[in-house]
Amino acid sequence: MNTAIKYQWMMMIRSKWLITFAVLFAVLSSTVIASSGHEAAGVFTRSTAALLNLSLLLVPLVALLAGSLFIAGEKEDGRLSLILTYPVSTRSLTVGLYVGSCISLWTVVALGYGSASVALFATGGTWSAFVFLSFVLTIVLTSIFLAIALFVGLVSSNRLQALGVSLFIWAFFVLFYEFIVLFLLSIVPKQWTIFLFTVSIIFNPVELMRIWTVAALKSSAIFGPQLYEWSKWVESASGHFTFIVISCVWVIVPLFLVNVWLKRGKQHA
Amino acid sequence: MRSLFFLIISIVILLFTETVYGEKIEVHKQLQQAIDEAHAGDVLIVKKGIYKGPIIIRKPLHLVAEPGAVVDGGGSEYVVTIRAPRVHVEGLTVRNSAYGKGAGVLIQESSHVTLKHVRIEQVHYGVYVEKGTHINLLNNAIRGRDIHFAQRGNGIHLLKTSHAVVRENHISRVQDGIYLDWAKQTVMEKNKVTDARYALHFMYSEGGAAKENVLKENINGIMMMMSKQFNIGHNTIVRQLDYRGYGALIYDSEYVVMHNNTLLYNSTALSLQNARHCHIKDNEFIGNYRALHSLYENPDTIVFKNKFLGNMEDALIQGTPIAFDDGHRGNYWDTYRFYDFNDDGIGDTPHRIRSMYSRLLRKWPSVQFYFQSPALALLDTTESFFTHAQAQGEDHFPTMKIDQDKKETKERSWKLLLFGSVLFISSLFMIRYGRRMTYEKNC
Repeated sequence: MNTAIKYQWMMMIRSKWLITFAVLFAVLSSTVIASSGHEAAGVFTRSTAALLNLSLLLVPLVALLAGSLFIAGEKEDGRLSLILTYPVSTRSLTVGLYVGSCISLWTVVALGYGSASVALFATGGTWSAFVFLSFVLTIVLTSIFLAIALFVGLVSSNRLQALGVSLFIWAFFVLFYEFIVLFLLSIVPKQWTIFLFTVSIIFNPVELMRIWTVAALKSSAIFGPQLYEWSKWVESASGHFTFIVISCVWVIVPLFLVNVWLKRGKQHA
Repeated sequence: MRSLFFLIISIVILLFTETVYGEKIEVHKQLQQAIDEAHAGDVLIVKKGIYKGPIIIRKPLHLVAEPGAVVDGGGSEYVVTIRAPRVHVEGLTVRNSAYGKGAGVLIQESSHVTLKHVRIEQVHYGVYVEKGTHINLLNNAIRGRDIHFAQRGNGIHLLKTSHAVVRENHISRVQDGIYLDWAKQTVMEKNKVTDARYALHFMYSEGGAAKENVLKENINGIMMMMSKQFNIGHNTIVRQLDYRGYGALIYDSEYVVMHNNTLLYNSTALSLQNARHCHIKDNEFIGNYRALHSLYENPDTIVFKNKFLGNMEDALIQGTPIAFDDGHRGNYWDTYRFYDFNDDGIGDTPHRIRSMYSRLLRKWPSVQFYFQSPALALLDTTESFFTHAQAQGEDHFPTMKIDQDKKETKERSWKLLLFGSVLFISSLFMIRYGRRMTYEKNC
């Protein structure tokens, strides 16, 4: 398993465009923080929202593209078929591919948050729970989208297809999803609102991370009086536990499918 | 002429001395008995110990308590009652009034009463003043019971009281911190109010000032209703983060000047609802969910020379338009994106306050769920580039420059630098190490 992890990490971190993204993410996050003009205060403010939105927009995109294009490329070049002939169990291979990819992208996220923190310090900002919390939740978000990306990469027949599917998934989760929920909100009875929002969180990891960050900062009052009781729940221990469970499901299900696909591929190999 | 002057001075001093500094009497037990036996103007030194309440003072007295002197009401309605002028109580601890009624200290129809360094705890109301004049409440600590705020009483309640000075008190765990009820000419300075429903509550009150108070983590910082002629300045109003939390709400009031306050991290920093002839100026609105909310009509109210920094939403105007400049100066908006080519410190185009999100919110309040979410934030930003979008309000003289003093004096956080450096350096190391790895050596 260690070999598979090291191989995957080594191959991904060599990707020039991953390094380009690392630099882009570092520059953007530093700029957002530095231009926000005041410290991240341990509550949900516009500067914290800006940094969070940057993560929510960019991290899923990069995780999806990096993961799916790499695996689709491996598949296209025939390297994956070669690896499948090795005497390695599919479970080890799945975990190796996943953890190796995760390490590469976590490094990129760490670079972005590291430089943003230094920029925040340079502009006179102070330490707050948000910086650490946002970093941790971005790591979780990266892990979820990488699991999805591996699956997308495996089911795609080539890089171009992987690119298209990844972009569609990203746009769906990040851009269109909210408007679909808003549309549903306008047609369902009012008493279904909370149910609809809860379901919308379960089925979208981006929403999950956004709500989780706000809840962890004890700032869910921003959701307004309509969702008062629900806000109390998301801030409670059971709310956080639910978020952890949903995150685990979002990682485990795609990895399970990856494992099934690899097993089938190994049998063919 | 000179001797007449000295004669008057001597008479004044004599009168004063007789009133305040009478005989000094040490009290060891039976405080009520000692009070009853004392003469007007006597000084009672209350020694350390627990004294049984309730206590009633009906004559001018000076009670100076030594540390550890406690009056325990034992659940009585009012633990200490003052019904006399020129009473001075200092250093006493007052505790245990009845549940749901009464107060630690009741001051009734009295004048020139001073409570200083008094500690009041486990009470319904802290200090209840009824029809008092020239009441001084200085450096007291008032702490209510650990129950829901709806069941608590107020920290300091001034009913039909005039010329009260409330200074440097620390009030927590009460319903309302300082409640002015038909009060006149009240000065509230340097108080700290936390964990209350409303930190400062004005009802039907007139004249006075609230200065340099710290109002932190209450439901509302300032709640002003049907009141007039107040000067609210240099207060720090921070973290009223409840969903219905307001830093300050001015409702049906007039001639209020709010200036040089810092409104930081509140759910809504300031709400104006039928505020007439009010001036909101030189305040800092920083990091609030919504900085300003204007509802109904606010005639002749001007919001100018303020700084709006890092608020999620600068303003929500739900009533008639509000003036954001006085004809010469507007406000500093960190969301203003135009230029100052003539270098006069004023932006060349008006700042138009608009938000697609606000319009959606009015139609579907539940949309607040998507407050600053990626897609809506993106849409809002895109919309701001289209000038035809309907503006909620306009600042015709937006200020371009901001005073940087505060930022420069801000304390730096080395923890932040350490965190950032560790992440930055370790990620660089990981990238370098990963790129130098070879398949043969490592795999």
